[in-house]
Amino acid sequence: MTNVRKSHHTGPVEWADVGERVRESRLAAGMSQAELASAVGLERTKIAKIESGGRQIDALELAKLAAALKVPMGHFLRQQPAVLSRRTSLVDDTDSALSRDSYRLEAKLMAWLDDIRQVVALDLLEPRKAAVYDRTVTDSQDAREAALWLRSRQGLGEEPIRSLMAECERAGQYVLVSDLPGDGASLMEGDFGVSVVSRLADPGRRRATAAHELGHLVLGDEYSTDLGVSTSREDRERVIDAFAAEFLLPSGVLEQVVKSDLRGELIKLSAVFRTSWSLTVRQAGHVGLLDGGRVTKWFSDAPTRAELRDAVGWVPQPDLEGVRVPPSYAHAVMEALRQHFVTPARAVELMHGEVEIEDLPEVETGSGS
Amino acid sequence: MTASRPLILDAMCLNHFARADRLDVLRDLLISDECRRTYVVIEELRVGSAAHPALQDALALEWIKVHRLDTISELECFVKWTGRIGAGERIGVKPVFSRSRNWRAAWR
Repeated sequence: MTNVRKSHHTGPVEWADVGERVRESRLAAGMSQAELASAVGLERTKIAKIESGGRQIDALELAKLAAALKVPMGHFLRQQPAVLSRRTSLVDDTDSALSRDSYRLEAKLMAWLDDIRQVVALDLLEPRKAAVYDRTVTDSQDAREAALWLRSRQGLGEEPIRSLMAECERAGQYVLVSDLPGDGASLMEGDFGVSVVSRLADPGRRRATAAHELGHLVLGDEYSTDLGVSTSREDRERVIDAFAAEFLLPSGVLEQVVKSDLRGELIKLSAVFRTSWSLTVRQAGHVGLLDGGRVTKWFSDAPTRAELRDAVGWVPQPDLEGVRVPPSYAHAVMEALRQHFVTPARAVELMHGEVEIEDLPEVETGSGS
Repeated sequence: MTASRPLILDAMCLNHFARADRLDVLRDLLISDECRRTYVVIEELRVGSAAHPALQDALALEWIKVHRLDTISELECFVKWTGRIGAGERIGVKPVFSRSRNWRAAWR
């Protein structure tokens, strides 16, 4: 999971930058120069020149490259954010699938930020200010307190979170659920945050990822918080995970469970709070319901889908499944369509699969802007 | 009608004049202007000519020069424009394109 504080641009984009973005995107797509050349109808030597910054591209080539590499056209014209460059860079064809997934998820994140900027610029969306925790966070316990602070701030008490998408939005983080593989990524843009969460993981994992990315926003930038520069990346992520666990399933809830049927109770909590089994077991370990050895043993004894569904009376409880974008953003896109700021085709793109073109209302033709 | 800068013709304009078989009228209207079109527009017409052979006539026009649209600032404007019409990567599907300075005034 990647977190970026701000999308710093270090200067005007040059052809060498465009070439580098093409090269990175090609590697992320797992294509050779020859394969890309074939896909866009250019000679391989021209692709090599483009990548080295020695050849300009025109609008048609830009469009073809974007289509072949499955990234938005704007991706090639964007300077890499300063912090993103800290991640493992894509160097050659031997890069791992993980780093390729990560690159594509980050590209999606930047494109998602562009989408939000577009509706914000139309005065159709006023992003909520990020709920940043202002106390010192040095360990997991502090992060748990931050999660409870956010729960209290949003009036959640110890209740299950019905729509994580809506709660993230209330906290100033705009989540996009994407079909790309990977976990999640997030960044701060001024006063608000954006994140991308993969839809491909199971629902519990998706919610944990969204809550994790929210943790990055609430606890602050990993490079500026009181966690300190000496803390390892892994330790930082563990602190953020503690935030996510406490936000999704507060310890106070677990402290009230009846111990006589502990597994049954945990299955019920996992189903009602829609948390992954591993998160539920970890939380049970945190409050002392399970000792370390049993936590490890119970991890592998996950309930079946039938057990989970039975625990909630067989009522389907999806989240981050049909919903792809935050509610206020979706409304802003519909408004942009009604006011003729975007075409129906663009509105569908902005909705990221939440609606199809036939779902959109007929828009009266008018002067618009 | 003399323009101080070149006119950039989009696919929609050329499409309609070609299918009405009146590209000669368009030429007369713009006789005093330097006219250009982009490769994107040429590609749109080429793709469209499969369904509408009359578009071949628009492709053959020699009085419209090609504007490459290959500076970074032009590409940025192109991306911004496709941000309004959508499906920017599926060139040939969208029949609209204008050069930045022509449409920017219409934006908020």
